[in-house]
Amino acid sequence: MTFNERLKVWRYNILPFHVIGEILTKRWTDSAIPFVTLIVTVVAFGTVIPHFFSLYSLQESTRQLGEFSLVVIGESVVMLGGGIDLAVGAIFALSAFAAISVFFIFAMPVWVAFLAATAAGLIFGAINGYLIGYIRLRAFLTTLVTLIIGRAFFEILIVHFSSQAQMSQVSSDIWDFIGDGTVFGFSIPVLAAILLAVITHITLTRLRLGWHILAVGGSRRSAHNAGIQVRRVVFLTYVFSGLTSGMAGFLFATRLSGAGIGTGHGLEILALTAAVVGGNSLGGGRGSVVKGLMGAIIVLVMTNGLIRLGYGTGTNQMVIGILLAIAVTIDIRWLKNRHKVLDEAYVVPVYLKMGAAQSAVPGSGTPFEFNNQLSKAKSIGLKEIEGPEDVILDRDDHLYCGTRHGEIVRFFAPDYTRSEIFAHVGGFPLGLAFDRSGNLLSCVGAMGLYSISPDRVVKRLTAETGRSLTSVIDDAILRDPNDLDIAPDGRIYFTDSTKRYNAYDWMLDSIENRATGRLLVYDPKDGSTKTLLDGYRYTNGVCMAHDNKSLFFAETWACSVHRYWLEGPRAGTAECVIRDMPGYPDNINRASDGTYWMAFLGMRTPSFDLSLQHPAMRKRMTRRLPQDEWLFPNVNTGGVVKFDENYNIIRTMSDFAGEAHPSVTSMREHKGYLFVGGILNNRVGRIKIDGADENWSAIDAYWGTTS
Amino acid sequence: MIFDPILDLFRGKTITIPPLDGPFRANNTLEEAALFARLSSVDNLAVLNDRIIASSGDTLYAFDENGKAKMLQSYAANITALAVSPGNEWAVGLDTGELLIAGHQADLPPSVKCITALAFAQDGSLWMANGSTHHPPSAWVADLMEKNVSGSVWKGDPEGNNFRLISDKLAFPYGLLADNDGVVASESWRHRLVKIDGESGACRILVNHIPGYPSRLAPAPDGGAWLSVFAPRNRLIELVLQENAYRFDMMSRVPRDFWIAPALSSGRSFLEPLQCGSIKLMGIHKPWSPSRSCGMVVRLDAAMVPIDSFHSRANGTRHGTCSAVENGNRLFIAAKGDDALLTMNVSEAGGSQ
Amino acid sequence: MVGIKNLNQERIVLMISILILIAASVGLSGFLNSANLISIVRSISVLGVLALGMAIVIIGRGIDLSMVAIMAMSVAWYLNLLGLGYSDYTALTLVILGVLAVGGLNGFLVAYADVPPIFVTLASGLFVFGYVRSQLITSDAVTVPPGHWLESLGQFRAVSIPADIFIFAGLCLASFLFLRFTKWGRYVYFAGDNPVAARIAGIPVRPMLVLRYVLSALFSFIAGLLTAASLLSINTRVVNSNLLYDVVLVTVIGGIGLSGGKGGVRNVLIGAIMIGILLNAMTIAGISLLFQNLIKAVILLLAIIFDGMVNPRDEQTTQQGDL
Repeated sequence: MTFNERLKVWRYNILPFHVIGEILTKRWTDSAIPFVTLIVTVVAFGTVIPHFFSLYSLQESTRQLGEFSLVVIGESVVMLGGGIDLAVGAIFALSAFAAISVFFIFAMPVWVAFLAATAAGLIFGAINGYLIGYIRLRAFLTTLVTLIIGRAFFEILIVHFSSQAQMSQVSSDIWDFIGDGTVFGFSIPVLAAILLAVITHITLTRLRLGWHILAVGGSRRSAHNAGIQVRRVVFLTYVFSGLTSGMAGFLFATRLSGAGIGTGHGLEILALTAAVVGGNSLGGGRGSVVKGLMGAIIVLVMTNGLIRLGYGTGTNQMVIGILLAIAVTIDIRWLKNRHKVLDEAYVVPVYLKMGAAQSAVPGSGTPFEFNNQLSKAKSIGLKEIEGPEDVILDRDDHLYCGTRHGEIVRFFAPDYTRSEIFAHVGGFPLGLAFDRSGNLLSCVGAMGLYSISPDRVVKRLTAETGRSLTSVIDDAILRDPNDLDIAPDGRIYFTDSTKRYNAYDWMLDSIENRATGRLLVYDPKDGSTKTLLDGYRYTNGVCMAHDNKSLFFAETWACSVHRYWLEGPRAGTAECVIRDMPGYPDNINRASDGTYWMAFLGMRTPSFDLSLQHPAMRKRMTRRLPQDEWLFPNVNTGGVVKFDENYNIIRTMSDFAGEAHPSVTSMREHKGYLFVGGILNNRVGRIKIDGADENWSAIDAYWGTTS
Repeated sequence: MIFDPILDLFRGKTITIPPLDGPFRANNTLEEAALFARLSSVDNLAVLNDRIIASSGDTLYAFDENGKAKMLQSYAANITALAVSPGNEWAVGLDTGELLIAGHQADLPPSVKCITALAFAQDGSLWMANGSTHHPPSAWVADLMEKNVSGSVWKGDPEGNNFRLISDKLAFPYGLLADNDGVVASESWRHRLVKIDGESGACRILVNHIPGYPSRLAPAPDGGAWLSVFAPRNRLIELVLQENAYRFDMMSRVPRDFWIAPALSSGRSFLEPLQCGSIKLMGIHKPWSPSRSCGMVVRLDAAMVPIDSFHSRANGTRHGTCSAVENGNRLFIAAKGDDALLTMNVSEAGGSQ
Repeated sequence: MVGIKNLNQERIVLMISILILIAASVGLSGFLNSANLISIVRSISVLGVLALGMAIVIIGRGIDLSMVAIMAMSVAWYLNLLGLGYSDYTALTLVILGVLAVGGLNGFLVAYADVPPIFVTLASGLFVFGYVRSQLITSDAVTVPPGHWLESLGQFRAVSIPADIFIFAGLCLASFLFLRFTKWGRYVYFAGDNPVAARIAGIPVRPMLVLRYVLSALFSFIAGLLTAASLLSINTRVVNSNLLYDVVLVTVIGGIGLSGGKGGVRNVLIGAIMIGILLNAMTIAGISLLFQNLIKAVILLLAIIFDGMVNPRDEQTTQQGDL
């Protein structure tokens, strides 16, 4: 390797830039910006304000934070449900007044005051919820009006009764404790906020009500059409918001033991700002309690900090205004452009130098030389099936193949003109195999490993494997199960082609060409799935060797075949046995004479091979051109290749003109005939093999004849 | 959208090509046109004594009305340009850079080595297009991939002497149509037709943004013209034209037939580049899929404005239309990529019947 | 029940206004005389100008919560600049440029950054108040310099009708002509009714959005000038008061739907008249300010509840994110 090539390998293959894209697919990256803002704010104010982090100072400032957080949690839940609650200021004030009047004027115990405050909040919230949820008024206008009503009520009450409350002599240790005391160093408001946050988070993420709230916020019409009681859910969100504001009002009352005309003034703006700055989405459906809390901390630290730093009236509002504008703009732009950033960052092509291949051009005289033998194949199911990636025959010579409609279709012997849908699996059934009991096993693209019993019952065997510790992307999921084969002890060896792309964007994997393909084994005895090998470029076909001591598997983009030893001194290791082929291998299956058939999905082209050495060009191609224009391996021509135990290529059959079988993904020999299928084709081909054993069938070779 | 000029600095401008719309609306007319004669590598066409003459490799053939060919003359190298003078003599340009008029060799300036088009004016003077100073006409792909702009247009006397340079710095002039005060030339690599003034050599753009690579021009009865387009514009090719590292690597290591470049025919070898949209799905090769080759003949009116066109699309075979001439009421088209000489009836106005 | 279905919000409010008018003229002495009627109209002229600006924005499916902030702070800055010695011309130019900039910023963020107008205008209102209060002026209330043209504007009387009413009437007429008879006024309705279809049809939706927010900012400035003319000072505390909510009330109570595309100057007038009559009647009846707020809000609540019941929003046609 030259120095330039080494540099390229280092830059494109070793440096893990693809991890950036994988991180962006995670949901918790949404909280990254608010989290950074939080750290910056706390650090900035913490350094500028003296004694900011002293225990006492923290305890005092967190009291207000606790009350505020309660309100913000309620506001967040309302926003998650697609609404907005501007009345929280009034609810807060009225509940505080209720608590104060019950405790100081009516001299009731503390718990009655608590009940009064929360009841005031509940009732107010219920009124809001009824108007918005059931009568279907607009949230903004209605809560605005109830805010004005509530504030007017509060001001009337305060003017009339505040002197009475202030002159009251009632006192109580519990009241003072709630207002001033701490438990394990945490003030009561903080504890209340933490408790509420935990309960709300569990409800939102784990309980059905929370999912319904997120559904209604995410798409109200779809939630309604899906049968969710939209009105009731909206009602409950406003009730919850009223409840939390009521509790916050009670805590405020215990802290200050009094209320004035300005209590709760502007609280709704602050709560809204906090909810949005933390990252809760404005239209609803996206967000969490954690985001609300982060926003509450940011807003409160900023406003209190500015006051403590001595900035006069107006600075607070100015800063809050800027904060709100920036937070909202970033939230909206991120929401709209996230998928674009992801598209930009996810595909990170690698540098790969393909080895020189033997020519497959007709007339070149190599064992790979292409011809037109497959064009003579008779068509089965022409235009009736679409996408038979793999074909298999059972003991009665019936033909089975998967289609892209998610079905397994059975063609009846001996003429294969009559067909029926054997089973509906969903997904895209790819590799097929029969096990000892006659169950048809299939690797279903994007879904997993499935088993279909002779009486057509579909069962999923496995859809995930162990998670590797070094992978950012969740590689426990089987994104692309491709082909399988079964060992005599019943264990199923199958391949998962790529970790980074799904069944619908697998073309990007050919352009990226990163080695994330795996060989896995599923043991039906205990239902476990294990990853045996990792780091191949699109593992594809699997075939047990004739002596069952090893298996062959294809590495498609590397144009090579590997052998994995199951027994013997090299058990557990794999070696590359055929490399640098002129075509891309897909499925591998046994032939009747001790050799093996391999399908060529497509052919290597010099322009595509060269582009593998220009990763930046491939990346620009995916960014500047639509998918239809991308360069791709030539899958308009394919064929079938036969190789033996010593890895010699014995013969090649293809449809060079590309009329009947342009790309071939699978072939199966059965009683003297070769059945050929292609994932992009609309037929199965049948061609007679001269000199083949007319009694040989794969299912007998694997499991013996039934006696 | 308004931040695009800034963002484009980082991510590159989108690659766009003019759509096949309006007079260029795609159809299958060429694909369904009648086959006049099979002629391998049929390239240049002209009308001599009311008969069609066509070049096939290094030989010139004359055809009667039924499509029977008679050999006129054979030359030492492939014929790359053909024109018939008002006095019914024909001028032939060869791949080696020679110009023969009525049998005798013309005296050419040393820089002319790539004769791509010839046209006689009304007064008998001969216009000649020199496609490039770096490559012969048969290596046009290399000239495109190197993004050369070294073509020139010359004018000489009827005997083929005293050639005067009229205009240079043209991007592969491939077709010439002489008129009263100058010549209309097709600039292939810039996808446009320019009008070159005979005296001053000034260039004026007549037709811009042709959705293909224009080649030869032939007169039509009403003062308009027939323009052949020999290959389509393809976004992947345009991307490769902007990717210097890949392009130079490709030119030095990949056989020319398999470059990501326009071609006269495609789909014959699996070593050719394939684009995702050209994948045969369920046996169907989509007509609108991206392709390296196409067949297209465009009818221009007297003001050189395109009014109609005939196509052979991506799933067709009649590609590489290098020349089209009208004789009588019939249009003859040379599809070099299919070794076919096609014919169609055309009305006076230029539409097909 | 055709009659009930025809009872949309506008007609209800009109009916209520007439009822209150009748009740007040019958029950309250000192209500039905020309001086009182003039003072009713005067009291609503500032509110009306603000409501006109808000109406233009709301019809285009937006909302402008920064109007009161712009109203107060722009005039406060203007008067402050005059107090600092700037010439009238310079001060006026600077302030108008500032007002246009704020309106333009509002419009830009709503139109090009796709941020919901509630949050944009909320934020810009906060910012404008905070910035001007902390950086540009020094006290809550700023007075008009003596002999300034605002003073003479405030004292102007024609047929014993003060200038504010004429200005309000003039703006009403201008807005009416704009919305009803000009192409751009019609476009406001189209864009408010279905912005996506308007854009596809070729209407320049986004520049028009910017224009509407600039217009509402200008209307706020004019309202501020009127306030300063009649009170001879401007008190920036008004930003923290309920004035903004009153503006929304006036606009919405007259029947302009918040989802845009409907309504006109007539609705604003009806809403303003109702509020004006109500406030005036309550003041004459001696009801305290606190209860006045309560009654205003309760009446609005009843009106929108009724409208919600008579014209219910359909689950299948409501828009996502429609607050």
